[in-house]
Amino acid sequence: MVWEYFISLFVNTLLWIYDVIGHNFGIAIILFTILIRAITWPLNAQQMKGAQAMQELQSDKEWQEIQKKYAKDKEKLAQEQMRIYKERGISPFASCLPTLIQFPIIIALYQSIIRAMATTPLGLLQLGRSIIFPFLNVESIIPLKSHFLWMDLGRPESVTMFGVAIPTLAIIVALTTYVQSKLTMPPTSNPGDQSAAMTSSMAITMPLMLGWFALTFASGLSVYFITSNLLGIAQYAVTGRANWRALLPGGNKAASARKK
Amino acid sequence: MNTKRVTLVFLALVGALLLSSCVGGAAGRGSSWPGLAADAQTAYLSDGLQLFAARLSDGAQVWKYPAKGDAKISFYATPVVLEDGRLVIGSAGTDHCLYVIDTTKVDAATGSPAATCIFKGSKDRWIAAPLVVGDVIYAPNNDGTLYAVSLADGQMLWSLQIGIGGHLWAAPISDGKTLYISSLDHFIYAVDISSHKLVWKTDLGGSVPSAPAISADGKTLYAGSFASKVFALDAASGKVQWETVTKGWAWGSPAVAEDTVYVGDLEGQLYALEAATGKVAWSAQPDGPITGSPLLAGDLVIVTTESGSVFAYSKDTHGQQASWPVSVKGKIYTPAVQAGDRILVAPLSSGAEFLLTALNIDGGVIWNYKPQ
Repeated sequence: MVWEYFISLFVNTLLWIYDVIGHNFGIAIILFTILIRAITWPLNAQQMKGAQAMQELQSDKEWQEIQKKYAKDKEKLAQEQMRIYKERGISPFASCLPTLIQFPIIIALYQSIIRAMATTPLGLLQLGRSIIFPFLNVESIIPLKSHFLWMDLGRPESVTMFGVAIPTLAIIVALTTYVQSKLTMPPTSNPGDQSAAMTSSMAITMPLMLGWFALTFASGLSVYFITSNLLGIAQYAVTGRANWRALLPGGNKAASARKK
Repeated sequence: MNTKRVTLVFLALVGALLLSSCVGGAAGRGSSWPGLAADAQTAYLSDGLQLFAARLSDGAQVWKYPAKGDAKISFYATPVVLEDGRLVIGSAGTDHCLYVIDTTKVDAATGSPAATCIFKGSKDRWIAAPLVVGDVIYAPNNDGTLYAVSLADGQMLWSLQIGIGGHLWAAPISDGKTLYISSLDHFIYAVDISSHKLVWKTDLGGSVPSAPAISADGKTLYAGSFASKVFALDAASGKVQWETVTKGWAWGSPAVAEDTVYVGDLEGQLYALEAATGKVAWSAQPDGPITGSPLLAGDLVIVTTESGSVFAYSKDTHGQQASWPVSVKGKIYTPAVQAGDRILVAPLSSGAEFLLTALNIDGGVIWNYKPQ
């Protein structure tokens, strides 16, 4: 029931934006994404701060010493790590939280788009019952205009060129996700840095995964991904945390060397 | 750190799974309600991945098509039964096919009839049932276009883009000269068959998901809309003659008999309206929302409800409830169909015990059908 209410809230907000801006569902998704990003801005800022603190910790002398000292005593190592976290006010899970929050939002948004599109009679019936905003005149809104630019937002997208279907949105989603991931990668010079290795691995897996989502699911979701990624990049740029050199081959190491 | 990575990968997989499980456009049972039709011997049920035929006498399965579900094919439209035993039905799947199924040629090995995709020139899926007049199939598509296709060879004879945004979900009706088509874009359209041109269009203030009904003299159309109103339109001009407010969205097609129009709404109200004025002659409230057209069977007005009930009211006694209702396990959105002395009801397959139930005119269950 809580999840259903959550979906209804998303659907109503989307429909309200759609109605206010003159019945363009693509723009409605973009504005809705901006709204979601604005709401989760503090969380993202917390993630950036947390990720940076964790990264800085990897090159900290005391941290490296306890790694060596208690290499064979995992329990003691954990205790020491917790002590350092506490002393320096670092939450090791702070950087995970926005990622955790992203997933229910993605799923809710996807379900909201599909419900708003109402592609079958049963779907339309369900949409009519999802209205919780009393000021929303859903009778005048239905059916939604699902076309935005060249896309049908309720279906996966591809552009046929020379007889070949090219999933342009999936490519853009993968690219923007990659760029965002790379920009957030702090410079590193430590070859044994587990955190950097993981971040580097995520910079590959996340674009592939979101690209696959974009390839498989309704293109409205891709509009969300792209908008969200661009806003993420903008957020990093505005706060001065974007590591632009990381986009160049070997740029991360070069930046690290310069830092030294 | 490894824990974090594993958590992220796990979340990604869960997310993918959840997303995959809620693909609205995917074909499958329960994505929408079934279409139901019958001839003198057989009931035909379109229920997502497959189309089923059951013998009217005992409910035994005659065939199913396709023999195994194909993700590209999906059926929700009401099958159109031709006099020669063939069926015409459009697929709501990604194949965009308009099928002609020859029920007289059933393959013994697969148990499926011969089916031909005679037309796949539409840009979108087929939610609406077509109308077949002589050798021409008039098929409204979800791409907003009405296609006229030759039944003989599947050649497109002409097409007409109707309205803005399309969403044609209802079968056309015709008086022989004009086609009347309702649309989710709030309009009813009249198209001249000989010139293939739009004659008039009338805004009903909300989506019109079901076909209008036409009076016996062909002069008046009746239709309900999401504006929570039932309208009577002049068939020649499209001018509104009267409109009557309903409690909820009027989803199903009205049924017309003599001087009365019967229509249900999503607030679960059944209305009997005077055909000349739209004045409510009587109304009744069964146990749930009504999406299907009322079935007129002799003296009875039979409606199915989302609560899984079949109610019957007497026309002669102004809505007095007959000895029914009958309850089936599952939600019923599909209108009941009469085939000889049987009343057929098809609940939504999701949550239903049987896909089809045959009742006698007193509401007694004759048989239940479950696909083999």
